[in-house]
Amino acid sequence: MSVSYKSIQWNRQKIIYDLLLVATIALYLYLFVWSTQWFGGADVERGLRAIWIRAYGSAAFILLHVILSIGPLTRLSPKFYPLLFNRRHMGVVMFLLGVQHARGTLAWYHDFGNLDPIVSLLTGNLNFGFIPFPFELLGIGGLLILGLMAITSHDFWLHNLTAPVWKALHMCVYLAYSLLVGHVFLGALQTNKHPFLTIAVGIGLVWIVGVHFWAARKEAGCDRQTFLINTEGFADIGSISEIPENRAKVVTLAGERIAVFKYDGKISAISNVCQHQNGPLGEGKILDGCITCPWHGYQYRPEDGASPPPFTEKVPTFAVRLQGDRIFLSATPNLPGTPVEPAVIA
Amino acid sequence: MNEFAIALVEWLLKVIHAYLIGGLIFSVPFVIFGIHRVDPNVQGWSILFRIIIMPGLLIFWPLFAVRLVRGKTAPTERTAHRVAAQAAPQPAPQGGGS
Amino acid sequence: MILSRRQAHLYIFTALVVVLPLTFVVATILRPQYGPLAADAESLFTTNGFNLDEDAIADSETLKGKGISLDVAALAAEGEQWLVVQPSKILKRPDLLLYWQAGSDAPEELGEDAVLLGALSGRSQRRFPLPESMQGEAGQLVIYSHGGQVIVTTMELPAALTK
Repeated sequence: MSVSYKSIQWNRQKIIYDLLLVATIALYLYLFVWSTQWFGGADVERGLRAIWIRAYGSAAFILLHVILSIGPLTRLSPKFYPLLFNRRHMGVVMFLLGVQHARGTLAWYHDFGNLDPIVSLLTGNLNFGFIPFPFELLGIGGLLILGLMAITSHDFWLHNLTAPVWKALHMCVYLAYSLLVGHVFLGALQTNKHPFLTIAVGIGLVWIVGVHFWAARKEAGCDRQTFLINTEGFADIGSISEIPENRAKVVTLAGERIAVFKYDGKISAISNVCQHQNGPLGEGKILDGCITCPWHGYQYRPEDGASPPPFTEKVPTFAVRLQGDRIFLSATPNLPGTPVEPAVIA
Repeated sequence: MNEFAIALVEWLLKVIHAYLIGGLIFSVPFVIFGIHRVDPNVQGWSILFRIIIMPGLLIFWPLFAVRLVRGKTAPTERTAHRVAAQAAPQPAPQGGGS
Repeated sequence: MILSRRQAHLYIFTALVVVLPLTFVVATILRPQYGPLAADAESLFTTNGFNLDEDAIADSETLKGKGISLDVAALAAEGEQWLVVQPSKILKRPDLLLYWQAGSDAPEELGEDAVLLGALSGRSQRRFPLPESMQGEAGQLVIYSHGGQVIVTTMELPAALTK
């Protein structure tokens, strides 16, 4: 990157996305509180603040399920990529909903005592059996991880922590998810025994865990490819006809995936890992002569793996040779941004 | 009430407060004067951008303190291909990926 | 994602696919059967003057003070004279005490001779036994914040409600 950071990169699509997101959440919160009052009758007046705590908590929990579904869904179909484009805004909104839930809890259940509310929250329930479990601590743990992710969601952090470290930090969302699922199982579901709630939480769990496990196994299958490398250090990775025009075939070689692109009667290969957020370049297509990352639209020239000026991202390139219809790919990466003569299709 | 747990939690909260206050003392001058040296991509004087990265700086400030002292900028990411390219016996015409 | 992160993702979900459903099933089966409030706690509330049966008060009078109004009625039961008190709206403060003080003027400060009737809580109906000195006397009900050490409001209690 060599273009100055913006505070929030809003464009037309992102503004529509964010407006829809906020409107949906506002509608959900309103319906939750209104319907609880409607069905609960006069008793509810005493606990309106407790209802808001549940409204915020459930909204954040549902949104967490939506967010965690997006990644595996893009493995199912590229149609889901537009959802991923602005996933970070969704994550920040979810964190803020969680904060409201926690703030309400502090004021409603832990204020007016002789301890600081936060100390009271952290020490009020220390029954470390399985049931009852201090589910509050699970919630705090989950919220802290989501907070760490929210405050490092800006591109400044991606650049300064580097994408692999940033991604590892943000993969802690799976730990946060486990803690928050535990927070619900061992908290709300212990006293609220309505079968609908139990079944809904159960379905959510089976969906998230199932779809992630399925996607992880599918990706692992792709990573297990092995190629025979000939004496010149090249591997036969397939035929030209396998690759659609302006698209890529993705193969795993030299410890990582490589995107082999076909365009304008030429073949070029670059590392599959986008320097912005390590998105899968090989699942993108060539737009305006540049390989375009399907995640956030970062672009690289196929000939040298460098972003066109003024951008400065560079990824490793690979030498390609053709023998008839077969594509031979070098197993040794060139330094990022090294120009490589594309193989011309005869 | 568990007196030991309360004392422990109160002490931990104090430590966290101290760390965050340390972060604030470092970060406010850092986002005004030092940030350009650590990250050349920061151009201009956008205040909203500085406010948005502030909470993260309160957590990660030691990282930037070290980089500021050593005069370093963000490293390039490490991936299998970049590491292999570094190790490969080839001339480095463009010197990228340092 | 890079290869090592994809592997971590696979390992994490191989573990979670076992652990989380197991936690869910066990947590659901082991749900405690007791309610949040046990029946043997009732005696505690009764000794503290909470009227759990919530008598419908036949001819109660609504007394209004600053920000607080109380439905108050006299009740003769179990050979004693009682004052039944129920806040008309939920009380916003958690530490309110109810005093009675003789006299027709609203007191500025809690007098030495003020009689503590008991505490008020939420919208709970309370039943306070009336001491003899109060019976048949007109006076002031004083609502006092224990935490703030201040009088929150006062209201006149007619003699009709103390006999």
